[in-house]
Amino acid sequence: MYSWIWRHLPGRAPVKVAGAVLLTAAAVAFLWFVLFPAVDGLLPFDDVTVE
Amino acid sequence: MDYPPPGRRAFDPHSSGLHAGAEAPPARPNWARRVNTIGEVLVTLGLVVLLFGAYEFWGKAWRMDRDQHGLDRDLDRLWAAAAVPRRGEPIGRLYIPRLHKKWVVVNGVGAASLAKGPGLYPGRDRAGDVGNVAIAGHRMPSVFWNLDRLRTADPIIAETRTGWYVYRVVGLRVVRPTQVEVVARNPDRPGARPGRRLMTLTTCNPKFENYQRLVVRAELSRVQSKRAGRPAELSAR
Repeated sequence: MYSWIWRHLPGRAPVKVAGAVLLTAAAVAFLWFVLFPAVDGLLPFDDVTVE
Repeated sequence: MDYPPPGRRAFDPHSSGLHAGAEAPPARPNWARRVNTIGEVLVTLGLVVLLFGAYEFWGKAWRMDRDQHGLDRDLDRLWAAAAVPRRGEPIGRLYIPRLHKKWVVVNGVGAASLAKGPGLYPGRDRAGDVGNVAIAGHRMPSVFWNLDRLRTADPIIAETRTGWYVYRVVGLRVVRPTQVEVVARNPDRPGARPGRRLMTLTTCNPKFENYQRLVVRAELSRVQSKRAGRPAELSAR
């Protein structure tokens, strides 16, 4: 998987490294700001009320 | 791991030419590549779960601090307009000097409300009323994390549009999540007419778990009007 991505990143090695960092940052940002907040409400970790 | 195909050397002017041309990477059996991919996917999922753990601890605290900042201004605006707060809107402020904490309390205890800060159980008594002001909050560092450190007689101060209500801790209890009587208007005799001016804070217990509830009960000690300035208990510990 990662080797496939590496092969498909454009440019020479330094450009590829920059592309990889950019891809990683984009993935982390998506998880942190979109997916995790959406998933969080579905989990029972912090029920704090009595009902 | 696959390495870049040796064919790249064709671009090297000092190359001997032995590797010239677009060579394929060394062939590996299909099953080895498949196992490799499965391993990479599993490692990635592990990292995602770790990141989610970090989000639960720091990410949510960061979001709540940001929300609280905005709520603080919203509350001043609501008070200036003497508006009745709707569900999820700020309703007052809560101070616990022992924990060096201060929050804007929102109206309601739904997930969306509690993500912004401590929430007032809906349809119940307000600060100063005979009855029980019930407030729920997450067991996270920016909310009720250290609620178990409260001791008897510690002040808990509620600020409304018109006044300061200084409550003092009467006791701490750990109960099952189904014991709704702790937030009843008369928690000692649910269903009976309330006779005391109580406040109840609920959060989950133990930390990182949710099979119990930590319940702090406080009773109104004194009231101070806004014109008399901030109550002395705010700076006491």
